[in-house]
Amino acid sequence: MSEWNEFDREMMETVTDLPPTAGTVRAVTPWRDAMDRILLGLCLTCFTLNFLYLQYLLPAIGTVQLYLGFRTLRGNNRFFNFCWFFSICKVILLFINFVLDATPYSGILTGFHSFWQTGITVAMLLALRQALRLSAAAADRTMDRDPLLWAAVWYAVLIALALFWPEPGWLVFLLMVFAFYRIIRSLRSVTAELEEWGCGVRASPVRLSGERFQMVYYTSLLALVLLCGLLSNHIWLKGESIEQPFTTEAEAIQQHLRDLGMPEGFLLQLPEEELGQLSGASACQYLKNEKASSGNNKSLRLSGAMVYLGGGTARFYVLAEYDDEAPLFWQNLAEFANSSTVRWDGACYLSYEKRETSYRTTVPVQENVETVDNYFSGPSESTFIRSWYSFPAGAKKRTCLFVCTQKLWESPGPDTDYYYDCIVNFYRSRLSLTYPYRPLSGQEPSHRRELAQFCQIFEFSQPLS
Amino acid sequence: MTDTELLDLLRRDRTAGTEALLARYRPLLRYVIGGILAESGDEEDCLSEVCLVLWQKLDSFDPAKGALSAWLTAVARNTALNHLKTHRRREAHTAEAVGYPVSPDTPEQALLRQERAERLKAALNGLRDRDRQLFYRRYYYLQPLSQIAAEMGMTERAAEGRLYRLRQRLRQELGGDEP
Repeated sequence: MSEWNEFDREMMETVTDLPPTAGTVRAVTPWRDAMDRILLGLCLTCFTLNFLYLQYLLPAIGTVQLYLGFRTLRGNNRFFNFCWFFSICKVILLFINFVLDATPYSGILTGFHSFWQTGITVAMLLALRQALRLSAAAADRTMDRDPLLWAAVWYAVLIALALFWPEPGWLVFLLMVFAFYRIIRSLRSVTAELEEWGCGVRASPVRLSGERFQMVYYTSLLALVLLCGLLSNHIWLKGESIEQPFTTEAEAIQQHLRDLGMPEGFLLQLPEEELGQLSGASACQYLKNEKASSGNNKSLRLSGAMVYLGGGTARFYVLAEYDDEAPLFWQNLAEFANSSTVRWDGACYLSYEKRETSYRTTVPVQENVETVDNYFSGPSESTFIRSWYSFPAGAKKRTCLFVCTQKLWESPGPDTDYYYDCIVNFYRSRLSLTYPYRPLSGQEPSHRRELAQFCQIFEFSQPLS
Repeated sequence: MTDTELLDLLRRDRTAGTEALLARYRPLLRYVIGGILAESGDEEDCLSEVCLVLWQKLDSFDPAKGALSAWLTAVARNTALNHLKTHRRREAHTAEAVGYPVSPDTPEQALLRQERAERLKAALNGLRDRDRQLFYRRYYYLQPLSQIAAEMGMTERAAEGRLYRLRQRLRQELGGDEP
């Protein structure tokens, strides 16, 4: 106390006349603060509210509160030490899971995370039960109530419900909430009874203060989530510069398509691997869709070509040419949408210019057979072909060529003899970040994405052969 | 047993009541004494002294003036301070080694002291809970910095910094010597 100066002595003398209130007396002992944190942590981590990002915010706050609470009490008995260890596991798991949720790999650890979170929570509740029993014994008391055993049972029931009865209805939900409320109330009573014992608690020293720990944890979590979210929302594709001339064979096919009526500008967009598939083409029709494109995305011009391959199949090409100013750094989606026609062999090619060099890249394509509920004909299966892509920053003259082969159905049209329809949707994400990560889809509301649709009918006056 | 039941028991059977009171509040008394006498190691002696004081002064407790725990805290603190003063005096052979308040005030001093207490009370009411807790730990419970840091979940350095800012603030509000 030698460092005390006159001011400190005066404070000490004066405060003698201002004894603390009962509330301050209780708050000063480490028990109260730590147990309040633990109870808050249990409340926030045991329930999931799936709105307003509360499913992320509440567990993040609750898990850290559990950690800080157990950190203070860890030196008092070994079960508090176990609880502290479990809370560290929870804090680490939560961090990893939240960061992964910002990436396309979010599903990788879902099962693992759920399994361990459940196991750790139950183990922590049981360890806390033992810790409180030991605490009571140290104060020559016995616990008449056993709220933590009930809490473990409650949590097990909750998990069982989630697994086997995901939508149990409001009654079960309210019953579970009521049971949880009773458990927490009982637990609060038990901890209050032990409050006097709490004066004997020795708080363990820490290397990082609670405030700083929370600041570091939340800041790093937020920074990583944002970084991973932004990086994941851009699809990294490696473009190769277009330098090599076409082979003689490919040039011959180009000439053949030119003869069938394919315009030069469109022809130049076809890569050699595509030309190779068109050697047996017997008919071609080109449609410019500039004015007819529907949707709210007006930053691209659409055109399409149908090349008849023989055997009742044709290859459909739809070319999207983007304005240079259109922001395409985040996710874009091209999609052959719902149709009763049989489709296969989808392909997607991007081309762009950057620093006066032309690049081309092939985008992976997903083909999925999905059941679609049609208002008139009921549920039916349809092949969806989709490609997700992004253009690099600073790219100009950006185009996307989206292709598939279709089995043709033919029937006389109202004003013409034969027609074949082609519908392709081009989506552009308006968001630079989505959390949790999800690939852009047509189901997004319009404030999150823009749509341009190529919806055209290729008409022929006689059957293709 | 609630405080009211405890006080009833004390009125009916002083011995049994005191035993019950000590069974319940011994950890609190030990906690208060431990902070003040952490360096001297006389905690057990002082606790016995506190028990004796309680036995003698229990009648002076008025529930209308405050909670039992607050009163017990005050008794334990004052006894521990006196104990520490005696200990220091014995060690250093000087009455002012620590400077804790012991001598009875003159009427003028008492008035000044009351004024100071009122100003301090107003200043404490303006503090956040955590700062108020820090103040009481330091100046009322006289806890060592290491204990304050551990119990408030911060490092000693952080506790020192916070205490420094608190002192600066109180200095500004109450006036006092420059650092």
